[in-house]
Amino acid sequence: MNPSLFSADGLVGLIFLLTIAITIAGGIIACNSERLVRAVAGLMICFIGVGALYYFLNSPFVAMMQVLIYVGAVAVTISFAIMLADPEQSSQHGPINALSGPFGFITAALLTVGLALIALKTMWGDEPKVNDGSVKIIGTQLLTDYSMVFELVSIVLLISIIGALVIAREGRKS
Amino acid sequence: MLDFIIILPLLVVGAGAIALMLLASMENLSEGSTALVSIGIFAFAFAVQLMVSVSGNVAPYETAFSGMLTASTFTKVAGLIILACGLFSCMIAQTYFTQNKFSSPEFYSLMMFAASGMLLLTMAAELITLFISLEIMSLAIYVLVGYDRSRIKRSEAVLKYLMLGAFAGAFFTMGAALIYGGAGSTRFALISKYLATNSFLESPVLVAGTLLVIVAFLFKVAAFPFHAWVVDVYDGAPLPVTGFMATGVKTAIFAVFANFIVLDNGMKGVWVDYLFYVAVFTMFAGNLIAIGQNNLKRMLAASGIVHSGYLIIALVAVGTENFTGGVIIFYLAAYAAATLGVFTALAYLGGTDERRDSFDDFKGLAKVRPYTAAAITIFMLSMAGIPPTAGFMGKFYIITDAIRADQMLLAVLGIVSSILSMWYYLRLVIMMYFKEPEESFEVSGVSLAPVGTMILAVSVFAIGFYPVFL
Repeated sequence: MNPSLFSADGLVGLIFLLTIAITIAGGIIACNSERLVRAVAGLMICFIGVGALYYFLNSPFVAMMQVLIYVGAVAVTISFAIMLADPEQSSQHGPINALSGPFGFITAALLTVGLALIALKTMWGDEPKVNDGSVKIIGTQLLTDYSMVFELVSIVLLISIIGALVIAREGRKS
Repeated sequence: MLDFIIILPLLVVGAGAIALMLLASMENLSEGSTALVSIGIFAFAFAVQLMVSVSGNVAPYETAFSGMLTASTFTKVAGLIILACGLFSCMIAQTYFTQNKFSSPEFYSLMMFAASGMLLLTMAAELITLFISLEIMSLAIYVLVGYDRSRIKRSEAVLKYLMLGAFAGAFFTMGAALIYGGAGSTRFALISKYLATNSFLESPVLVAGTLLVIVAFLFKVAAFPFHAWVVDVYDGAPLPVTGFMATGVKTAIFAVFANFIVLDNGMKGVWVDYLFYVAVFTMFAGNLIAIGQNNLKRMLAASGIVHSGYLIIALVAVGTENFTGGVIIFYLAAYAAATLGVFTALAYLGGTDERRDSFDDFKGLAKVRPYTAAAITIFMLSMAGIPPTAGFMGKFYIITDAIRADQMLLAVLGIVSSILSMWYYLRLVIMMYFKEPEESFEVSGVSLAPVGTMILAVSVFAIGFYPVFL
């Protein structure tokens, strides 16, 4: 079935391709730019593309969180870190192995083919929808079935804060 | 109420960690008292875990928190081992920090957080819980590995571990997502139910998902294709952390690995064929690396790979029906006692900046410190698997289990590997007993580690005489 470009389905398909292009372009910028600030900008573009892809996967909540947390908070935090640290360090890197490029390409190709094969070979049955993925149902799940896991995330955050302080600080003055 | 009784030891350790953070704000809190408080917390948690363990099971598999956690005798004993590892690691730390000055109360806090992550891992019965507990444990351990920023070796270790560990975490997440896609649930019970009615091999998503999850587990226990990081990281980490990583992390991961692999007979059947090769290569790669080492910590790291290999044999042999995991837990206890024993001895013998760290540094130890040398010999014999130590009994149970599961070849290779490993274990014993001492091995300061060494030396025999219920 190939919907016409000027139908609603065709337009949606076009937007889908556009989000994929944005994601890949962002990833390429993030990997290839010499300056760290530009790499972070590329990462932001990539995150926005991924957020849009989540929307296509019927997860508006996850899409929203992707933009809010990754584009909003994480990328800004990385930018702060770059500004506070020495930005000149990025231009000095050691000798790059000549084989790392081809090997990286082969690994990526194998992964792509593998994932594509998995997706194509699986008999995707007509599973009933578990839920509608709305904010309400996610909130209910987090505070009922997944309440313990939800609480445990706070320990992860606590450890991250302690760890960051321990590693970054000069230590107690005695 | 049952829910909270199951995680009671975890609450003790977690609350202890937070209480220690609050105590850290006191001006006149000395380094020694912090260590004592944390040893006390671990001992209390151990006692609580013991009470929970002997209080009896309501059902063979209790579940808690709407099926997120499970508790069986297997997980409870794993919890006991982990808390004991924490206890002895704190003893090691107490002694270690009298000679190496980079400690602060957060060190012990992070150790307790890591222990709580490990306890959760042993009980996890659901992939999201598993991931969160894996992260709690790993994050705390990353920070502990890089705790001393003054030395470049430590930074190298933490960077290697952090990067590769992050990849392992990503593999796990991807695997969990694929399993959810295939089986429609992240809960072990429901995945197992799905697999009971559907063939495992007909679902490529499930095959790929379980493969990625198993890769993450194998990375964490340093099994064959993913073992390269372990020598540098164990060598670079501070001594108490190395001891804790080698024993606690391994116990936690093998507990959850066993819980995961016995989900379904079909799934286990598929992976057992591959785990066979993983076990063989892990044992022999570990032996090859260990034979080449001159540094004691690096040798212990490499021998940790070998012990992972034996434990994978136990996983291969374990049956999905009436799973008890007795053999695995017995071997883990024996391994933990011997390894921590060596580390407690190294804690007071190592000296400032871990000065004595190679085989040659321990020449003639038996003439100067006969008791310590005898204890180290006991630990080495236990790791090599010589009767009547716990290590021998552990290997004996694993080999007989493998034979019972028709894995004759694996059993034979396990014995061959065990004979090979004697080369580097006995080398240290020969150094200690048959060479002339070159120094006086003076130890400064009052410390707890010698006590820990003696307790562990006794427990190596005690565990050996404790019958395992197969």
